[in-house]
This record gives sequence, structure tokens and C-alpha cells, in this order.
Amino acid sequence: MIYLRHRYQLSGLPEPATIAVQAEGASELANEILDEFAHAFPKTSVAFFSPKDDIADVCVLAFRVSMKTTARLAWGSRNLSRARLGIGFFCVDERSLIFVPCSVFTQWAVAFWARSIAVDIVCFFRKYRYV
Amino acid sequence: MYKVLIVGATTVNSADISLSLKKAFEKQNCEARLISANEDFPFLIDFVYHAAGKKVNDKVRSLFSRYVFDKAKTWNPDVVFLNGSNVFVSATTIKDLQNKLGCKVVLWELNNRCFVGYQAEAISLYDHIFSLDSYLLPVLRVSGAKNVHTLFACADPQEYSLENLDATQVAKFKSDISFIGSAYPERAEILRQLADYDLRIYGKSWKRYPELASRVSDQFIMDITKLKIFSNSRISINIQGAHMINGENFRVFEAAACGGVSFSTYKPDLAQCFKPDSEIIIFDDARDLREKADYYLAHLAELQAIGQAARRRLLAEHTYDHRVKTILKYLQLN
Repeated sequence: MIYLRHRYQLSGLPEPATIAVQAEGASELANEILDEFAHAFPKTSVAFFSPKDDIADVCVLAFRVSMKTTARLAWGSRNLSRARLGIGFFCVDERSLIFVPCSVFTQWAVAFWARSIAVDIVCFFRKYRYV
Repeated sequence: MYKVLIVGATTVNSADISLSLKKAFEKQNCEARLISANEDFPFLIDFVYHAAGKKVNDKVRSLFSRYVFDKAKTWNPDVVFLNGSNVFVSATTIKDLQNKLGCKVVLWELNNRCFVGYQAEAISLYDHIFSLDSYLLPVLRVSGAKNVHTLFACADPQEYSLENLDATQVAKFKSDISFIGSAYPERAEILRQLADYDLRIYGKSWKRYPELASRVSDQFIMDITKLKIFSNSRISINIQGAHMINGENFRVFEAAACGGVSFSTYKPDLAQCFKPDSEIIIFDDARDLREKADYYLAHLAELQAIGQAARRRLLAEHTYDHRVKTILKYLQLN
């Protein structure tokens, strides 16, 4: 729990009143993630993400490591207008979380995407170096 | 006000040691900063780290060492505190931190890996080494370590509270006996003998033991899940991996923070932290474990009393605050 709070503090965002979480995969995992956020932010209303709901202060995508970078970023871009303060990306397998303020989301997404492409290229060449 | 720069992993599926240490140092009126050893890298390190498949090769280590040094140069800490195993900071950088910046460099070795690879070069350099495993102390001394001390595992009781949680969600984790941990042959051997109990196993790689399949939950273990499991299991089994000789991991302490009762294999350090039979139950083998489980499952009040006693002991002696006070005492900073 301390990790979630730490990551939120690092983002520099003010305390959220509402957090909406969308979790990929099994409902058991989704319930645990929701509880994890509720426990880490006891003064915040934490609920599952629903397209019908109003906007939330922070929208979080919880995903497995197998989810493609482009799909994660697309989710962020799609839901940027639904978040007042920031977007969160929580990779549950790696227990890695990042919150990105809405105001810098586009620049962050471009940099993140560029890095992931560069890493893919390096890995591709490394894989075939000895073939 | 003393300044402590902590370098340690943050994205791990274990106790939040780095963050809890930072919190505890701050409670002792230290100014503490954390450099995560596996996230928030500057672009170049991040790129090289990812390109290396999230592995620490020489290039990553060299870049990260420089990064730690630059951070220390800017902030000028009194202590650079490395926690876990020092995979990231080179021996040269340790010398530079000491000689050029006047920092004390301290390691809390948690995985008994300080003799692996380049880490062995650094053993004689640290101002202090704290080891989770008391067995390492004489070995470290003859290897040239200057000041070595045992520092047992611990837990942050504030992180283990069931407040604000949905009771029905919590109740899903009820069982007589639970085990959290990855699959090792010695663990499987013991757990196999408990298959006729209300046993639940949580952790990775258990699929290779099909005979335990009905007992294994593929539930993903979040921090909160661990809390629910410990507080809803009558008995939490702890079977230590082979890498620890005298030492004990954080799991028993986390269970105690939840008021849970650990049945554990014997380790000398564990017996120093919790009193056998009144704060923790020690078992010798599967047969002994079965006998003790039978007895205590028939005497639940005694079991509950053991859990409460373990929690009291934890609050009195085994929190991060206690550990940080010990560290500061040895560093002669407080």
C-alpha cells in the first residue's frame, strides 16, 4: 500500500477525491486491485471504471505485463478527457505504477512510445545478431 | 538533521522495504531520499536497462553508479544506504562516495548474495554491513568487512490494518492453513503432507506439482491480498528457502503484524525474534507439523493467544522504527 501512495506523491498531483480503476482480466484480480487502491487512499472514493460514470480525478488502468504498450497508451489517450488530474498505469505482474498528470500526458506518451520503439529495435537486432 | 540516501528496489512483490525504511528514517528526524533501483531511471539508463531485458549488466551498473554518485554530490548525504543486494552500485563508486563526498556507505544484505560476482569486491569497502542472516557475520569478517551486524527482518504495523475493507471480500480468504510463497521442492514435500487439511497455497510456479493443484489459488498476490490471507488463516506456514542459513525472511513478521500465527521451520534468528511455542510455533518436519496443527486447530483460543502475543512482540521490538534506531546507533548518528 505504501508503494501506491509513494507513486502518487511522486507525480506531484493533489490528493484525489475520486479514483476510477479499470482492471484487465479476472474479476478476482480486479477486486484485489480495487481494495488495494481503497486501502492506500482511505479518504478517496475508489470505484471501478465505468464509461457511463462522470469523470474521476484519476483514472487508472491495471493491466498484465502482456498488454502491448500501444494499447496502454491508446487507453490513456482515449480516457484523458475523463480524468481531472491524471492517468495511472499499473502493471500488476511487475507491481509497477506510474501516475501521469493530464497536463503533460501527451508529451509523456510520445516519449514513452519512442523509448519502447527504440528498445524494440535494439532487442530485434540483438536477437538476430548471431544468426 | 542527518541525510540518508536510500538505494533499493521498489517494484518488487515483497515487503516494501525501501519505502518503509525511508518512512522510518524520517520518523527518526532524518532527511531521507530514495533512489529506486528499478524504476524512475533517467532516459539513458532506462533505455539501456530495458534494452538489456530489465537485467543489470555492466553498462547499466556503470550508468546507475554514476547516477547515484551525481545525486549524492548534489544532495550531500551523510549516509548512502544500500538495501537488498547491491547489484547496482560499483565498488569504484562506493570508494568515490566515501573519499570524494565523505559519505558513509552502508549495506543491508537481505538475500545472502554479497559474495556473488562483482558484489564480493565491495565487501571490504562498506562502512557497515547489516545482514539479515546472522550466519554471514563471521564469513563477512574474514572477508575483510569492517563493521558487521545482524539486522533482523521487521514489519510496518500501519500497513497491516483491515480498516476500510469490505468484510465479504476479506472472508473469501478464510482457511485453516495457508502458505504464501513460490514453489520449491522442500516446500512441496511438506505441503503435500497437509493435503487433507483446509489448506490454501498462494504463489508462483505451483503448477509443477499437480497433486497440490486443488489447493493452489492462482489469485494474484497484491499487498492487500497478503494482509487478507494472514489475517484469515488460522495457521500461516513458513518454510524458509535454502538460501538463508540462520536468518528469517519478512513473511513471519508480516503475519505477526496481522495477528496471524506462523508455524515455521526452525531458524536460530527466528527463535531470537519470537519465542517458540508462545509467539510462534516451530516444527521439525511434516509429521511434527501435522501433530501441532491438529492440536492447535482443536484449541483455537490458544492459537489466537499466540497470534496476539506475536503481534505484541512485533510492536514492541520488530518494526522498521526499531531497525532504523539500531542502524543509527551503529552509525553513531543518533
